[in-house]
Amino acid sequence: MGRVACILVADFPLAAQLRANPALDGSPTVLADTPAPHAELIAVSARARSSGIKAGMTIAQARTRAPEMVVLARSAAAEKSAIDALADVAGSLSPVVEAGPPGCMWLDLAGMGAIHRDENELATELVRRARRVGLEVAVGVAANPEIARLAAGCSGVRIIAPGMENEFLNWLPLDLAMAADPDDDLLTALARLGIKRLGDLARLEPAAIGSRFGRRAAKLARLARGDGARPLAPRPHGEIYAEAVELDYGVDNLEALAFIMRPMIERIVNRLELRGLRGGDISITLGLDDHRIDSRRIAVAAASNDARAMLTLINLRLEAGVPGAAIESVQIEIEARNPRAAQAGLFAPPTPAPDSLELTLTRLSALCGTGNVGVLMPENSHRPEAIRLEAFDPAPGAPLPSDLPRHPGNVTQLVIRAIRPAMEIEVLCSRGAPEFVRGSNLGGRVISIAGPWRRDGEWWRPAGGFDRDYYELMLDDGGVYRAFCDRTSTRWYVDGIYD
Amino acid sequence: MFSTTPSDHLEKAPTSLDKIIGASPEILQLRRSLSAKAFRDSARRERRLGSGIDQLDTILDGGIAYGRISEFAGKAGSGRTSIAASFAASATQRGEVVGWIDSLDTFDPASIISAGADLSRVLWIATGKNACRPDSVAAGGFANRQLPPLKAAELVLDAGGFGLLIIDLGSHGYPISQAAALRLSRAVERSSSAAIAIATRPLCGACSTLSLTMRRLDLDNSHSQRAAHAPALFEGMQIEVGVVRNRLGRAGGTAIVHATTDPSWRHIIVSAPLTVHAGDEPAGVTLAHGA
Repeated sequence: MGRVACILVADFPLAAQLRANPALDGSPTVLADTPAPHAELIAVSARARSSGIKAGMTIAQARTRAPEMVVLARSAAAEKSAIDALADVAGSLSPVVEAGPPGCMWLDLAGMGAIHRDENELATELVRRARRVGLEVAVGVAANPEIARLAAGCSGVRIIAPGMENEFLNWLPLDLAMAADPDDDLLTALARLGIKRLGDLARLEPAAIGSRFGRRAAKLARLARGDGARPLAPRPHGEIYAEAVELDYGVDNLEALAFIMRPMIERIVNRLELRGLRGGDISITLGLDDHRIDSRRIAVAAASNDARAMLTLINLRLEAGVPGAAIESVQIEIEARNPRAAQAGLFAPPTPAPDSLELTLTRLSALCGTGNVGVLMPENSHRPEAIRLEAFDPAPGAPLPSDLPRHPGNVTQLVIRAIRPAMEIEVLCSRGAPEFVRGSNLGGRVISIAGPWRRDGEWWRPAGGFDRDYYELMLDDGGVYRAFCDRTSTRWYVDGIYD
Repeated sequence: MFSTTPSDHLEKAPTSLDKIIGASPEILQLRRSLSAKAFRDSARRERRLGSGIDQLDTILDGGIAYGRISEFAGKAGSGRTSIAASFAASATQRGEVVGWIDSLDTFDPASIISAGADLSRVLWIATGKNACRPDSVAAGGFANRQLPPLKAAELVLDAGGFGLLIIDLGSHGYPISQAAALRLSRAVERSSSAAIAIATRPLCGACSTLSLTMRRLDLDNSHSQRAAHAPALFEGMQIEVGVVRNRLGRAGGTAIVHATTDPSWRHIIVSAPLTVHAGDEPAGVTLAHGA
């Protein structure tokens, strides 16, 4: 017989909103369709309930009991993020996860005994992980999904031991069994017949119950008999982790936006860590109050789960181009990447551990900009300034060679310091030879000249090619400069100094 | 609990052990090799990164020390970057990973490759352009007043596993406070990486272990002409490296290093030197390799 666990979030729409607004945790909070005084409350928080507020009251009635009450509207974006987070919690422990109604997730426990000591430990771990992503859940474990859901509906952690399902169903009060979708008329009608528990209903014929009380009662009767066994329909794993928030009012400064984005990123990072993944490229979508959408994509140098570095990258991108209007909604999507693993050699020189290197690269990118960290390589071109940036991913070091190559004698290679982009200079020539050079932070008499060396190419490109005569000019300021004359424009430039 | 090691015992009472085990030549040799001082000396020799340049490595007792800061000071054009690149080449040839903090965006990958470095093992970090303000950096580390190159250096050193870190401060006269220099030296020591700071003058003060000054010698022999009417070749220059300060060895030594240019990029030689004007047809263009 298989075992199934059910994770259930009570008052899911309200829980999703509280997850998106963690600052409201602990304050009396209610959920309503509209903020109008006559609107009925859909759900109330535990703190509001302790003040005597109940679902079904109007906002005006509830305000008389708790004037400081916070009224929230349902948010489809927050609910979707919460469902995904719940799926990540379930997926972090089991490969087979089925999404039920909003706030309900089933996971197959087949084979989990080898990992967890018992089902109670596993259920406690589920509660702990759900709390990590900002959700308070109840967990039920039973032989089939429906009984597991009924067990989870009893709040806390309920383990229905194999063979004890009938005892549990016989005991279960009808109002608890219908808590997810209450029907007061049906409960009253059954109570008149003395049917108060599922066990009372199980003794009756489902067909007869159905013909008298309708489809819902028949379903309840089948449930009471334990007819809920079915295989789970696996939910596909997502490759993009998203969190979204809809704001009550427009935010028009980036500092305030950073306060909103930070918990969102932290929640995504927590979800990624639950699945053993790392965060890759980031997409941010801002809904503006002039009905425009501002979307940006940030390529990261290396995958990491450093929320602070991610936030810095987003801030840098937003500072580079501030949104044109106040922001009313924020959606952050982070691509999941697998962590890198590498086996170091015992006799090889140490190399950075992949995890710490990824984190470092992300932090360096946040410090210096994403285009300023990596492996700088020369392009396959004769233009000296043609360079490209590649990702830094060094292979593990090989064992040290016994004899390293040495330069014969005391010779080494002369290195040039590039000046990017090439700096235009003024060159005074005498009989065709440069005699005096003047430029920004540069100037002096030419002591000696080497060259010219002609370089041309890339004439086939639409942007045009290059055609230059290169010189090495030694100036009386002590520097040896690499300068060129652009034969097309007859302008002079310096693009490096030998150092 | 062992209060002393065998080597300590051998240093303190060598004769007592000789009486017990006899004084055969093999035993005496073993005792010498096990002595604490010899062990420290050998460890010190092992933990150095050579440049591959014989004379330079000789005056540095084998190279720059791991876990210490070495400063290369000199004016622009003095050859300090070439000497640093030779250490980077040596490190990558050993299979180590190198970090190169480029504060002025002057890193030229082609010439670093020609110096022998494996660029796939060199992490380039440009802190000069588009670096965000120090006070907006969320990544922790130095105080907000610290410079991006030093922040980047600390991040690289914290990652661990880098054999060499080159902090190229270029010609900027960055005023590094003693506190920042001390913090950097502690980070270098923790990471056991060798660190080279390139600047116009020594900046780390007492926190650096080695301080070298570079000076370009005269350029009298820097040119050659392979044939009449051929353009002059810039062959390179001589760099005088002086050891100003060395806490782990001798100071005051000098080495002359010949830094040669990479001839491969001069793939086309204009055979009419200094007479070619823009717009003119070249007198004759011959394909040849500059060397």
